[in-house]
Amino acid sequence: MPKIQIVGRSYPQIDGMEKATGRTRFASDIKLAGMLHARVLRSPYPHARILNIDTSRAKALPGVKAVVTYADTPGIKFGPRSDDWTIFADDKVRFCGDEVAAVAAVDEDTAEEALELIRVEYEELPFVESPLEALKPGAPLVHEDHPGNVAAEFKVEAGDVDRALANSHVVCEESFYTNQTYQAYLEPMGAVADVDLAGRITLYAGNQIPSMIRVPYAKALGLTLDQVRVVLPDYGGGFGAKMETNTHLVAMLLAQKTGRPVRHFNTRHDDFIAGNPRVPMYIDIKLGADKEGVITGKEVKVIGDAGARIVYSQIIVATACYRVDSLYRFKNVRAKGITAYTNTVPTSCFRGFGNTQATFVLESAMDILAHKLGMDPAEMRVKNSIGPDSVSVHGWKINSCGLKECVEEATKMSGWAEKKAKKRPLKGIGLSCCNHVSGNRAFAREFDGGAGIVRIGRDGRISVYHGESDMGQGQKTVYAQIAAETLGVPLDWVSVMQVDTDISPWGFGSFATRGTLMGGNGVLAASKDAFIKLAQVAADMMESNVDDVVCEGGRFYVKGSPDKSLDFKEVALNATDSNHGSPVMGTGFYDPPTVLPDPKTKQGNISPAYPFGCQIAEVEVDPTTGKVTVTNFVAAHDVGRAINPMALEGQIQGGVAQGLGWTLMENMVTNKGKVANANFLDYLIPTALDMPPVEPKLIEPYEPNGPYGAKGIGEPAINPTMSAITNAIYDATGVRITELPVSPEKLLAEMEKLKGSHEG
Amino acid sequence: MRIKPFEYHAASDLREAVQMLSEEGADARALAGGTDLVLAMKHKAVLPKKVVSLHRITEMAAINTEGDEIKIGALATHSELAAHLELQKVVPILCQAVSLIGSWQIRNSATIGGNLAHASPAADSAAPLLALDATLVTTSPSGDENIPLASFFSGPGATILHPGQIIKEIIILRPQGRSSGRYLKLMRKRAVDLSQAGVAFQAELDPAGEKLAKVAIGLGGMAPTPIRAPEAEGMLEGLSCAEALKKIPSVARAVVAATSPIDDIRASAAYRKLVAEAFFKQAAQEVLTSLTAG
Repeated sequence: MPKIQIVGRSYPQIDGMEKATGRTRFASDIKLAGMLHARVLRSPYPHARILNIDTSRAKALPGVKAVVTYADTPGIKFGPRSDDWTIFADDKVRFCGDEVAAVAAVDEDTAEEALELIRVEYEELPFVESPLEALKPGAPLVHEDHPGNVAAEFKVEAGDVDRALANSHVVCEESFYTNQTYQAYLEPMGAVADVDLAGRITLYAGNQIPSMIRVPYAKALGLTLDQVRVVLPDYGGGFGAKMETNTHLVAMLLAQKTGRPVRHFNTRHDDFIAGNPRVPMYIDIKLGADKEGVITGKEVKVIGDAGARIVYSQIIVATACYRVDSLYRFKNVRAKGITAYTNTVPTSCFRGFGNTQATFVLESAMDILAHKLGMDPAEMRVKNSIGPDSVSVHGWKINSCGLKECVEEATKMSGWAEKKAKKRPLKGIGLSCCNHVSGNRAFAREFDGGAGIVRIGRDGRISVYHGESDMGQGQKTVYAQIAAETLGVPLDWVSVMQVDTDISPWGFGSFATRGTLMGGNGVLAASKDAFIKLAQVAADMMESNVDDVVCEGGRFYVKGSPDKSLDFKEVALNATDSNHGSPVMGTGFYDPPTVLPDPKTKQGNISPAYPFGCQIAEVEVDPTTGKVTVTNFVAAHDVGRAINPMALEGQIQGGVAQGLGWTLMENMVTNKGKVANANFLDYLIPTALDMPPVEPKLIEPYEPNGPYGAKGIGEPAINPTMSAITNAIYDATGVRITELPVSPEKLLAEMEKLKGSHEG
Repeated sequence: MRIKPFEYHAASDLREAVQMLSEEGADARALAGGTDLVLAMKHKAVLPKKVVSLHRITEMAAINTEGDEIKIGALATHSELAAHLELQKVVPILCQAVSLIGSWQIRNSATIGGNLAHASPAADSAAPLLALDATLVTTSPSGDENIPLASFFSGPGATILHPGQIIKEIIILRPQGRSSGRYLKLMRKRAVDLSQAGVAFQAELDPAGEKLAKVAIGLGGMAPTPIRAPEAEGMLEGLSCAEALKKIPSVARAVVAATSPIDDIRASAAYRKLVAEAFFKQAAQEVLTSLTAG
């Protein structure tokens, strides 16, 4: 076989130039003939009964084509993983931003003007904005059919935790809080919906789950699955947020009512108050270790805030309860998670999916234990590290694992040992590890995996069809590399096609760091199928056996005789002509060896592969303002074999930037039930100037379940960042951060307290 | 976030601009860089019937540093000011302060006149200009009028300008003796943030170079308007730099005593005071040390 040529080499993203030069047509650039523009009237109250809605004046405004409320919907309850959604608020609004009515008009100005003409009578109700308050007896109920505001509960236990903790040499017992953050993608959520005469809807929406999203949408509109087609344009980022949203359904409903295409995009303000921000969590942890620093047992209690309806929060809380247990060789673990309803914006997926929150907590606790034991935190990680070819406490099968190598490389690159040895005032260094998944069997329930279609045209052009979602992370380029490598052609012969659910395979989409592994394996299988079919034609043309035919650089030849070769395009032409125009079509799928966790024991194997990482942050703290500056950052990640190193490094740097923002400034503030900073003036994200140099390092053990040995990177890139920085802050100041974000004011107060206690 | 319809005029000269503005009264707004006004219109915080753009009046963007009076046109952008070599020499505190405003894009568009007229209590140009005893030359159909910046602001977002009156230029007197100044700004990130507290410290030596002839402290984000701290200034005037350096801690307390900041989502009043005190100490230390060094 020819040696690997395209996989493993750095390529700029295949659509990068189009994007950089402004030629890409993003979701919000779509314009269809006769298209109307929609705006949504949202609740100004966190909790109120709707007494009356009068839309007559809005309907009478010239240019308005439809005004809709709950009464215009089929009234079906639905949800991605629950039945607590309606397209508009039914008898009451449950959060500030809840959808009350919507207008479709000839332009956005008219639609906005019409909103001001809708009269809604509300009766304000008492509300809850904290999950801790919501779970107290007598708290106002967000959903009457959920007593105690309990949206979901999750329990997992393995081994004997009580005994393990009782027999520990040291125990860390600490309470943490992780706040609500916003994904801050460049393009707000939205869609254009078009309906044909048969009532079939085409939804052009930038979203991470183009196939799955159809299921709840069809249900909500009382349609069959085949009546909802999703086309996936290029779109401006997602980071977990761009899954189900009423924003899309508003466009679909208005298209049905008007018979015209309807465009509805959130304003940035609406996206803040009614998007899908991160699930805030209160996490209590007890973590024990013996004298040698070997972890004995771990217990956590998680209370997560679902907001006013469930998007995916209950699965995210469950993830926070136990995914991190496959980072170390745990034997005794117990976790309980409660997901509570509140009268706040519904929360959902955000890069890390609960494992970010849990990693912050576990890796802070590890740091605490290491200090209690007087042990090097890096050494303690290595000592407990899960290894390759092992099985974790929950039955997860770890094949490749470069965790120890990640710690070794990161400590070497950062000069960890020297910096730990030489303590400098107000300067600190901190380390954190992480694990993650590449796919989540518990999330993709019916089946798991990925599929692809590879079409080779008469002209030799190769079109790759998949069902996942490239939101800018570089998936298209990775799929093109896999196809080009497998077929033996130059990269630029391959086009990766837009996902269209009428054409593309069913894919579960881009979440759980699964795109490269699942979708990549699907594309790999389809490429192999296409190759065999075309190679057969080449073999016939060269009068040889198909098993002896290889293709390299776009030329077929018989093994051992590369000088006598056939042009790939000539073979493709021949193949299509002899089949009377039918192109060579390769299809294929990947059936991962995952095991759905047992509902009771939670034993299973949720992912075919598990990525790992270690990040090290260096900080400086300003003693007058309390401001933290991250001065240097190294990030070593086990990504399996890298397919596109440049893209991986970019993902790592992006993840660190997002994690740095979360740690030091990002915070959605809710005040009297309203988001108080629904704008980029007061919702702070880091600028380029706030970023230190971030040095990525790829650790590349071959992953037997990955396409060409690859695993994913999306989420692990952010998982350890928060605790790497807060552990460095501890090293610099002695202040243990248990709440995110670290505001300078809070840190300064804690530093003063410490000073006082030392002097006292 | 849509802007309501409005009438737009690009005035061809200053006289036409103020004429149009005074005709509409409070319903008209002058447009300079637009970075504050357009945002306010999007948020429906102001709903002008008429917007009069000043961008064609190019002479309003001139910066003249030749005489004893440094004249800065109201339409000079923050980028132009920050990069102006003569201003950097004579009043570096101003260049430094405006270089911290917003982002590159905002500084390329936003103007010094607009920054003052918008009258944010935290305006980054206001604290240093107050410390430089700037005078505003305003114009209206009834003629020009000079207003000391110290009496220009009347509250958060409010000035004493009446409809039809706009800022034409800003005059700063060239320092007579050796001078130095420093502006420190509290931000939550390194760029694109409003000041939570801004401290401007400007000092000038007497002709002999021995005593502090003039000391000025400008504060932004610390009161309903940008303010000076006259009592604190008085504690330093007439002293030698060496004497003044020793008094910094007590003067810093007097600076804080002059302030009345608010608690809001951006920072607490207590934190603003704490940082203002620390910033004053740092700015005074740097300025007095540099004057001592000669």
